[in-house]
Amino acid sequence: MRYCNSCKVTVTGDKKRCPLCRNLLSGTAEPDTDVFPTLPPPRYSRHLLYKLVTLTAISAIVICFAVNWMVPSQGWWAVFASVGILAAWLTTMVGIAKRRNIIKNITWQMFLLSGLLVLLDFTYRWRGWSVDFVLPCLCLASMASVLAISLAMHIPPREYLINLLLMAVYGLVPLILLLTDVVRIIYPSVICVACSVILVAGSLIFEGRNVRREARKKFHLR
Amino acid sequence: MPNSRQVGWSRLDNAAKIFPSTSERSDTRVFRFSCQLTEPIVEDLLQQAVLSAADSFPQYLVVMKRGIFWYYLEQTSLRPVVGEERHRPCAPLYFAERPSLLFRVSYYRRRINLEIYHVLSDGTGALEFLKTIVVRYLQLRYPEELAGGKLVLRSAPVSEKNADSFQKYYQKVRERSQEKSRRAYHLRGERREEDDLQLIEGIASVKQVLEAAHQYHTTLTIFLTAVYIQAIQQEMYLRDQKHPVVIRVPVNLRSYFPSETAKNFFGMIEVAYDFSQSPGDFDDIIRVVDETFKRELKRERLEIRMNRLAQLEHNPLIQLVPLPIKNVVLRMARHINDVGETAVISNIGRVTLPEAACPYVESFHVFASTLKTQICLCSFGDRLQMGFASAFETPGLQRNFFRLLTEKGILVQINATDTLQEPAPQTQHKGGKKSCGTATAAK
Repeated sequence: MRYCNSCKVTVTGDKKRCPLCRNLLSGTAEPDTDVFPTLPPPRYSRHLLYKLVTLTAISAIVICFAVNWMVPSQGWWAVFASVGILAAWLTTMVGIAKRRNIIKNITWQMFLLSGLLVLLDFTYRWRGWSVDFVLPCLCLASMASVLAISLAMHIPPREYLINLLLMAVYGLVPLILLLTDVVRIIYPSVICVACSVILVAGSLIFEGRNVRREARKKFHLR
Repeated sequence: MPNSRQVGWSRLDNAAKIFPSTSERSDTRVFRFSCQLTEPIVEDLLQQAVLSAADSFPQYLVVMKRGIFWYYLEQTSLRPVVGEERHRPCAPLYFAERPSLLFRVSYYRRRINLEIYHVLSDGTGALEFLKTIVVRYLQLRYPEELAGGKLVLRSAPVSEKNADSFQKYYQKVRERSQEKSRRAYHLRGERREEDDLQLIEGIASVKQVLEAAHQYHTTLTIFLTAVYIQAIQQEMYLRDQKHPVVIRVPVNLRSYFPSETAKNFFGMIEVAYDFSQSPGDFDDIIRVVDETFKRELKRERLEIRMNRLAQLEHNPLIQLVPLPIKNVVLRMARHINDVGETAVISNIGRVTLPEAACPYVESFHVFASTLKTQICLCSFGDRLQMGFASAFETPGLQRNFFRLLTEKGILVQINATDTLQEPAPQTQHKGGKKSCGTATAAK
């Protein structure tokens, strides 16, 4: 067993230096008395994609401002562009993070994209395209794709029911916008609301028990 | 139709609720229990033993998932796979992107390591699980010597093990907290580059340490806590001494509130020593630690602390916050709470096994992940283990601690994971090319 003369402790294994004071040890090494294996250093590097996407977003914003500064134009359009780039960056990052679970991914993207696009519409002279088209169409598309994917891939209902219901409930938001006259072009919104109501009714009728159980699990408060 | 494929789930217990949000960097909230046997481990037998032990602890065969407001545990068909140790100590066990079991069993030479995510259990629960694994392993390894039911480990009913004792003993407390928390002294030092933990453990004889403790007319726990505080003091700059040294001590609540749960059931007490207002000699530190332990380790005091912690979970405002935001809030709350803490000392106490198993077992070992430095104590037979896990590059506190013990005539044996990598020796040559060649060769 090795011995440290300054710390007055014995040290197992075949260490050259004392783990406590870094002084050289005396005595003979006994390599098979060590209790911890020598391991390679850990790799905590984040996914390369995250880094690439982030650098691309930063460069795009910087270039926008640089061009905006150099080329005479009306006002700072780069601010508006940056909001768009940030939105694109955020949804890409979420997309990478949730890449293993397609249904979760769609749910997150629906909430995120609709929110971001409304924000974008809002920062750039409120024209209303986000609530007229984007919101209802995103909802419809998400519900349709989750249904199609889960049927095609034979995913058990409990895995996607709650996501589908969240979408359907979100699909009722256009109803509020319709009633408060925020929406001007009504067709997409009405279709979205109708589909959502049918979907909620359908899941409650056919999978009511599952819905209740899943909801208790996912929504428990304490 | 879908009923047949119903999957059971459970809520996180009160203490566990905070852990997923606050697992970060070197503090993965994973802790390690090890058991060192007298002979090298046989992998196949250990695998069988682990599977059989897991059957007795079905509440550990779960994965953690995200709800809208809280995480929850869901039963899984995943089963543990045993292998030679290949992860860094206390490496993460929960991954957001793929479901995984929340414990890991590995072995190295004569040692069996059980690493477990704090969400599942505290030290007491994990130790019961490791003891079950060890007993099952010994039964498989020495079937003749241990034949005839010589090895029976008393086990609580599964429903008892699965109980949430925090809920059982929760009462709303009305009075507001009187104690004002002060900023405690914080250890200085560079963090380890890889953001991982270094383990250094000292093994000593229980008898020798007890003799030393008796010289100061005190118990082993109080003696070692006092040594810990003195070791910290030796690290302090003079200007640091305006802040008190505050040691947090986890307390097993099962000793105060009847419970056989295998989930979390522990509380925290604080021992503070203010070097700017006290003499700071060893006898005085012992006196203060002793007084604090006597005052805090009472059912009524622990009850107040426990309920205060549980109030967080029962607060409707906090309950209604969606999980992603809750994660941020809880992490911030943890860092605010950490301002009042210097270090943690966790005493698992005496580990016992059935008589027939003892000849095959040498010692038990504990380590816990941390953002700073943490010591865990446990003993088996005459072997006392003092296990330091540290996120810092230099082990100053550990050195002071063990030197204080050896100065008192206690023999200490040190086991450590690899410390700083020394640069490969390189001889200087005149030609640039040649030195390049030696450098690669040295690698």
